[in-house]
Amino acid sequence: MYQYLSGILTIIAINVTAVCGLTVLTGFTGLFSMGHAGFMSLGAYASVIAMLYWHFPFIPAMIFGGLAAALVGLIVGYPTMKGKMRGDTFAIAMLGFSETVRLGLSNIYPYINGALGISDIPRYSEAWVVTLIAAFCVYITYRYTRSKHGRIALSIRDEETAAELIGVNITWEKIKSFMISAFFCGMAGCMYACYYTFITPNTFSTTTSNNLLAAVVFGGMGSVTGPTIAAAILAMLPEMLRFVQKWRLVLYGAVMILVMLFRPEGLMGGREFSIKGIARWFRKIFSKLNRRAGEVSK
Amino acid sequence: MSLLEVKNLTIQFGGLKAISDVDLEINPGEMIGLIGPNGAGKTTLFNAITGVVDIAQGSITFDGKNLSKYKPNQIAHLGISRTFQNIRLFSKMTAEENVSIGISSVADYDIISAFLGLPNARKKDRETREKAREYLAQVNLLEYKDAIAGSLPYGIQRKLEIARAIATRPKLLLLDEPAAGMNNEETMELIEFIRNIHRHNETNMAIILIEHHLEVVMNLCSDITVLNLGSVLTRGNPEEVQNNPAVIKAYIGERRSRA
Ligand SMILES: Nc1ncnc2c1ncn2[C@@H]1O[C@H](COP(=O)(O)OP(=O)(O)OP(=O)(O)O)[C@@H](O)[C@H]1O
Ligand SMILES: [Mg+2]
Repeated sequence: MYQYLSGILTIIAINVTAVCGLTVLTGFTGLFSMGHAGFMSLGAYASVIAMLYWHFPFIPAMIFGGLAAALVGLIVGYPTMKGKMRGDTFAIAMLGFSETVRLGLSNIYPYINGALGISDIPRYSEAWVVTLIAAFCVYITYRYTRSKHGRIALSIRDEETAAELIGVNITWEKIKSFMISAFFCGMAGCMYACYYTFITPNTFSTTTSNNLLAAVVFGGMGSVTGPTIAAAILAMLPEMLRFVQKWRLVLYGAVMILVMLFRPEGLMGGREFSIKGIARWFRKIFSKLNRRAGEVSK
Repeated sequence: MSLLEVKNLTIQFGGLKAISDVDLEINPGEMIGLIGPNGAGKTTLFNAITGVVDIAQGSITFDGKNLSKYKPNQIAHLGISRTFQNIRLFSKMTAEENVSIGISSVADYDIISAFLGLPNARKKDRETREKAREYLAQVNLLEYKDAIAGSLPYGIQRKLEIARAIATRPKLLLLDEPAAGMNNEETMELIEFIRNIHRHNETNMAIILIEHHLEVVMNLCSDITVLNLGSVLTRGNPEEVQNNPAVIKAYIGERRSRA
């Protein structure tokens, strides 16, 4: 039982870390990506190489994986952002990117064994360690989005032309968001590799990318806490639905459709989850009830 | 020396010459009007000055610099700011945040400080916030500081867009039909508003005002340029322009062709 719970916790933590990155890119800068699994893959491979061949400890290897993904983010981001790619074009281009990563890794044999992948990765991803890391990531992402950097990203999402004409260097700001998203996904990739202890180029698939994007949209664009909660729910959902066995994925899809139907702006909209917010919410409901009671007594 | 000098400017969209051979000049601290029927090329001229459309021929010089070498965001930093015919506020952000992007469109501290919320970042943020409030107070919008820009009444949004534009401390402010969609009372108030920001600013700001409502331009500008079909039809003071048969014809012709 303990093992089971700590397993779920680990998966949640990994998912949350990756979603933190995508929140900055999609929720705050307005760029939809269907290929961030590619960055998880790159981060996983880079950190595993650092651990196995250069004997990096866990945390430095994880940061190294994040930085490697961010570097590739810079190389991919520069031409795409310079070419003003966005919307569906950008989303599809990212799909192509993750496929390129997958096929590329499948064909490199020295060090990483091509399609066979790497096994015997040290199992560093203890539940409490990755949970702490994820919590830290949520915190710093929240801080970042409240900062000037985050507000500038948001201005691009809201009204790109106006942002540019007021002096925002939109190309650079987008590359920055892109690199940050790659960094978090790269770290999450490392955490994943150190939990399952083996990776192949197919470990991080289009489904992974889609789940990340779904968490951001479900949670609410322009919110950090919303996607965090959504990422946790989406990571747990397959487990919670295990009792229906083969209908699991069907139900998973149905839940997605229902959420989008009844809350198209996502769980939190653009707001953040806070105790104050909950108190306000309760107060609103109570005052409504009171009013109704008043009407009845009249 | 003039602040902005547009010389023999031609802008082409495919086969259409939206602007052909236009000259325009404005000195520091001046306010000039730009009028003309629909499709005359007024907005296109603003787009050319702010660097969002390519110049086919001619040149635009601002403060002695040839603008064709600069990107739109760099032109903003040189000191040109504008509003849009269709309001383009950051609609999901608060009024205060809108203005604060105008105050510093480049983050004034590094990414690590932003992630960790270090004291220097928080201090800079606080300073920006205070300055944003000063600007909002100056244009009498302080009470709306925490309101989401997109949910504000139309007239307030127009003013907020102007506030955001002047928060960049421009030397040249381009206003594209600020009174569009306003009723008479709101328009009169806006005229006073614009007069006020023109008088009280630290940069000796020049203003070019595009307006369909002639009474707004006539009220504010002593020098008016009339564009028609991409060319300068005439320029002069309000009476001269109002009594010029060619101007009347351009406007009436427009009304006929619309009917
Ligand atoms: N990006 C563009 N691509 C193609 N044609 C354009 C573009 N922008 C403007 N035009 C055309 O250029 C001409 C001038 O348009 P412009 O918007 O400058 O007119 P305007 O004087 O601002 O008119 P209005 O009073 O209606 O705002 C119009 O015929 C318009 O259709
Ligand atoms: Mg126009």
